[in-house]
Amino acid sequence: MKGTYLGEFEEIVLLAVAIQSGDAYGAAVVSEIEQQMNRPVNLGAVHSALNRLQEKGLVKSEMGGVTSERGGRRKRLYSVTAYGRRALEEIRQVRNQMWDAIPRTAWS
Amino acid sequence: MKKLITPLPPRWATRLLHWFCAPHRLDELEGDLDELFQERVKSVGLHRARRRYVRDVFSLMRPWIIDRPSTEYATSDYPTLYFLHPAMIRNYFTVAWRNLVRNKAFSAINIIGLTTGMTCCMLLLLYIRSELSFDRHHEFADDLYLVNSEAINAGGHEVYPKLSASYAQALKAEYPEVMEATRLWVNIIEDRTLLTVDERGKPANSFYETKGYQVDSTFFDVFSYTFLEGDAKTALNDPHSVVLSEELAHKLFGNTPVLNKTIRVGGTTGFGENFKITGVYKGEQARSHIDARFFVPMSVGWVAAFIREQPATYTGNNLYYTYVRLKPGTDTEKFNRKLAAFMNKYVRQSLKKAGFDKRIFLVPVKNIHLYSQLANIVTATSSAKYLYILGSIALFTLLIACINFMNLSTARSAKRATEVGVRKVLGAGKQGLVGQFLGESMLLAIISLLIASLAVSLSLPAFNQLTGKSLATSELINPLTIIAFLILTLLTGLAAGSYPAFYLSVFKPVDVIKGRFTNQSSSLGLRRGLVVFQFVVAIGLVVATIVIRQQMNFLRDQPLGFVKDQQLVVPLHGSNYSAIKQEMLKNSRIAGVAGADYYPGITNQTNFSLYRPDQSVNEIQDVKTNRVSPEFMQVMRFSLVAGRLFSRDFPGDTASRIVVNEATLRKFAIPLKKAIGQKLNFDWQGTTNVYEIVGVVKDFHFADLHQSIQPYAFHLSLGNQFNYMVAHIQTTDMSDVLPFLENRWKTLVANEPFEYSFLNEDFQKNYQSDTRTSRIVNTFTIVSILISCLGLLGLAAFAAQQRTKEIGVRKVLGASVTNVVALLTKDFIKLVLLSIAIASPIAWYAMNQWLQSFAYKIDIEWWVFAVSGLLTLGIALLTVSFQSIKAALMNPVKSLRSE
Repeated sequence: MKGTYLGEFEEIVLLAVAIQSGDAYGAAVVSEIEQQMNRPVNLGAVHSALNRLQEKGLVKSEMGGVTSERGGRRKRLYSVTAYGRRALEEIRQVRNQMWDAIPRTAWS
Repeated sequence: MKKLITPLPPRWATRLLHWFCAPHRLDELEGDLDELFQERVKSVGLHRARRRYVRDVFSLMRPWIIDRPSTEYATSDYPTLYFLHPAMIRNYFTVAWRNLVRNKAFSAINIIGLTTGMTCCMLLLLYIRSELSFDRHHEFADDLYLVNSEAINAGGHEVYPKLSASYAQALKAEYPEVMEATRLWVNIIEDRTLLTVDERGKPANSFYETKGYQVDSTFFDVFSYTFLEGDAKTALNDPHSVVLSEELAHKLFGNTPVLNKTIRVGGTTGFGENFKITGVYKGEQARSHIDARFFVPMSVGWVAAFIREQPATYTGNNLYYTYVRLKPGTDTEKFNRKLAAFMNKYVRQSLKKAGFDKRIFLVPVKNIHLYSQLANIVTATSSAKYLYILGSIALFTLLIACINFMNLSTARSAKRATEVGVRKVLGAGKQGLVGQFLGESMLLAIISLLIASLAVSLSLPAFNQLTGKSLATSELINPLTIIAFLILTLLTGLAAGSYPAFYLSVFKPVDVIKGRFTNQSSSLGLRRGLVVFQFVVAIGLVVATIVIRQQMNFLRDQPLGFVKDQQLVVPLHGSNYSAIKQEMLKNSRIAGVAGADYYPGITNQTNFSLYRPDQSVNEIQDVKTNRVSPEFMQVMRFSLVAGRLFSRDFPGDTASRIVVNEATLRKFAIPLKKAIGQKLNFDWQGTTNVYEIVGVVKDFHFADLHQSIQPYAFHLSLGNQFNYMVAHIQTTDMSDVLPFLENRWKTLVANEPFEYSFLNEDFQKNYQSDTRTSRIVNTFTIVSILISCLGLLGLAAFAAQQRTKEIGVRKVLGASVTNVVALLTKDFIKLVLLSIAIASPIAWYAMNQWLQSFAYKIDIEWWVFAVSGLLTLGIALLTVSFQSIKAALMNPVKSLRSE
């Protein structure tokens, strides 16, 4: 299994999955990221990231039921695992720590 | 109502997705794509949405999407690629090993065959690799060129690789592209140099060495040599320095360092002065068309004096190989065109005076050995043609061994069919079976490789003897070679195992287990085809062997126009000819002794440019000349056509009298009747020398029979210095003549070793490359026939075994042993006969092509094919009948009781 290091794009995808909470699938994640970050994202890149996140155990997936949208095609629904949540929290904590460590004089 | 038009993504992109995407992934991905597309149509418009769609499809081309079976979603309980699982691969080899051990005869035949095939293949690959590596190791290999010339006169044009001494410097001065220029001189006066080692406290030791070349001090700036001792940059700066090859250094001094030691260099190269060893280079791996044993600067010896005394010329004295190193990236074509201007500036005027035209052009040094086909090059070159011949022989030998494997495996398929059936019933897939069979052939190939590697290193000395190469075992350990051999093994395993693997793996288990399986006729047909192929190759090789042998015999027995047997040749190198001659004639077995500068069989380097007095200088013709003592032509038994030979009875005979051959008369259009007394002129350094013809001898072959007879003239020398002495011995038993000669020699010429050779052997050396090809073809013919027969042996054994019951019944019903043997061998004989029919025309064509390279050659006669065919048939019959007789003699009770 690959290392648990989380790349920048992977982190964003993981966050997007978390935002969608339970209704995250490829296209939805793409739209979410595009809206939030205002930059075009390739579907392939997102699916790759999702795949990697799943291999690392940060998300899990299951096939959704058939709906009439999307020409009756099924969705693969992703959700953040407990491990994934902890990873996100750790990242946030590290960032906060680092923000706090910036001396005020740095900005002047 | 307004009709709703649903916008559609580009259809081809969707199709592309369907093509590469794994089926179980398709649903979600296409859904995502579609959803995004519909969204984007609204937000950014149809056009851009479609573009984004295509981009997304391409961005999805990722291995994990393309990979069809994934462990998570595979339908079966087993991963679909289970047959490549390490455990399975281990299992294939385990099963293969058990099969090998169980069928010892079958395994032995295959391993022997494959080992032999691979050994041949590896040896020939080593040979081919060494041939291809000529002159590739130089640091500037891509920028090195030989300056070649083409002289054009009224009589035609002649390509000649040597130039006058002046070109090298002038080319370097004229063109900035020429980084360095260097000359090489091959001693034309004597081809052996006497080297003497005189170390304090040890007896002096002398050796004659060939291949000592004199070169400019820039030589090692152009050609790269790995120096073991000394410095390449300065090695040739001092005139009295000498650079030795590793082998020669070993020969002269053993395993001690030799730098700064002195050796005496004799002959016209060093005039017997002391030379300091300034370098030793690694010779073995540095394969080059300059096959040197040692190098001496051009600034000493005869050649230095000659260059000093000669007026600088661009037309005559074409004695020097001139090499240039161009600036990297120079366009050779363009440069070649520029050379015309050079000729105009420097050479045109003197060319006009000499009456011919000339152009110079560059030949890449790395092409010299195989592709340039230049005559008169430093070391005799080879031809890429031979590599093709050897390469195909290598391929064929291996192919024959692979065919044996295929044949035996398919023949035994009936036996293994049950096994295949059971495996299939137990759930083995086709891939698994293919894997197993390939595993078996791979294992065999690997075992063979190991044995073959051993065999190669053991047989390398013999192979070197056969090919005249000096390949070292160390070359086997070269990474490229190892990779090549591993690939060879892999391919052998695949080639040998592919057919049985795919053939056996498609058996239907139901048929097999019910016993409905019989050897299908298609496999029988294929097997026969393969046997025929093997024998076509074998018969072709036999024909080649016979034709080559006939041609070689023809060359050996061809009347040459002189007596070449029982002629002993002794190199003199300026030693006192008359004294030695007198001593020699004291032995009653020595019938005659004569001196000469050349004798037939070695390259004759000097020629005169002669013309009839009534002709102009422009009509000169080159005539090879040889300076001889009065007795030479009597000793050699040249046959006289007109006039007389030189004789001491005619005191008027001087250096200006010549005896010519008939070809010379033809060249100058002199009728035989008027030949005697006819004069020929030769302009040399401003004076005209006149030569008078006193005799005409019948045309004789002074060069090998690849070449037709050229004009040749002998001129007389009453002096005491010749390069060679030829003695006619009246007996074939040399056992007391040679010790006598050596003894006399030692008392007369104490400081030079006694060396000799036989003229017929020297003459034969001209066919060395032909003899070599002949020997290689001979050897590999035997090998490939042996491998073919090995296969036949296996097939015959199998056929006999399969028909044990039939034979038993026949015998019980009264069939004789002969009947049974005939029954079993009939099929094989038919195949061999068919092979003869196919092989004959192919072999005839190929051999006819080979014979075209000889000026004098045999015709291929029909009986060659008959003999080859019968020979092969005989060997095949012998092989098969061994098994057949064994089967026929078996007690029928034994074979029939089992049921």
